[in-house]
Amino acid sequence: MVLVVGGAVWSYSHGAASTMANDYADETINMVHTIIERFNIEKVYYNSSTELVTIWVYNYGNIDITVDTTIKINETSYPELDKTITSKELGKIEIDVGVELPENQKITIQVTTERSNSEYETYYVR
Amino acid sequence: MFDRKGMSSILGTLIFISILFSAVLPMFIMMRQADVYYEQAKLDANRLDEEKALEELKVYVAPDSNNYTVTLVNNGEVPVTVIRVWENENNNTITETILSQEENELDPIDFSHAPGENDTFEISIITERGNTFLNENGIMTYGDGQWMLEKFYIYIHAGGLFMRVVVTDENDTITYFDEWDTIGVGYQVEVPSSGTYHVVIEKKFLFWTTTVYDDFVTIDWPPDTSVDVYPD
Repeated sequence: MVLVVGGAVWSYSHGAASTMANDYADETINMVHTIIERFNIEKVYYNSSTELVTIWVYNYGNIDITVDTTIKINETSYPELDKTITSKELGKIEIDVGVELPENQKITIQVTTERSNSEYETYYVR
Repeated sequence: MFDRKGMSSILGTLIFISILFSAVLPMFIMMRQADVYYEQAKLDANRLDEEKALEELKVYVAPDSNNYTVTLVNNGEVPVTVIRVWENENNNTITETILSQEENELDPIDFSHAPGENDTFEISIITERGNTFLNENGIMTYGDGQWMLEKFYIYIHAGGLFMRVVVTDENDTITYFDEWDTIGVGYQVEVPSSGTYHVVIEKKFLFWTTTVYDDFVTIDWPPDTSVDVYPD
């Protein structure tokens, strides 16, 4: 009887401890990935003939990132989602705004990774 | 007759010990390793951020009719690896490492298009650590068959106590820089254009003032965008 109960308790404890340890390790790895992400908005350019806003994002960290980019022009948002940029690479994101923008028009850019790190930039049309 | 009294206690103890060694201890060891991994990653990330903050690069661009030459001066404490040169919205991939306190000149880079009347060119440099450094001479404009720059500099390599540095135009009518310093070390004086300037450096001790430098210097553009002054 003792063996049966003891075996059951051992089996449960072993499973629970393994699960807890694995969850803890996974959470730590996710946290590490969040803190080691490094990227910046390297360049922004608006081409009046194509009406495209081009944003170059440089991932200078050691892990790949997936970014959502949103530009805002006069309270109108233009999103571009799920662009993956590998480590040490320059990602090019093009957003069609569909209108010709006047000179000095303010464009605000927000780039957010799937791990919730963000970078912001303001660009004025030249 | 075999006495089975106390057997349950022994078995229970053995099961408890086996749980301790096969489940609980490995769990704590794994968690400890995860913590060490986290701390190590945090330290590495901080170190990289600090190295990035220590980068200090000066970028000087000398444009020609269809290309430009970039001179990079690393005034920082860490080596800098340049990975891209931007000319307006066009980029050129390069790999050039400049050691601390050293200067490198890149091979001439062709303009993305032939410079036309009133075309402006903004040159910037990207480093591997993610820093951007702009051309020290500002935005370059092409017009009347020549290049115009936004900024020119006079570098005064002087240092000492109670020092005065004055930079005026050739006729001493416009003063661009006039500074008294208790302790002065090296000056970067921005002037609006190329040409000749009058530089005076004085040192003061109690009531006595000694002129240590009084001469005219010329920024000979093109190709020079700056001139160095070395007082005796």
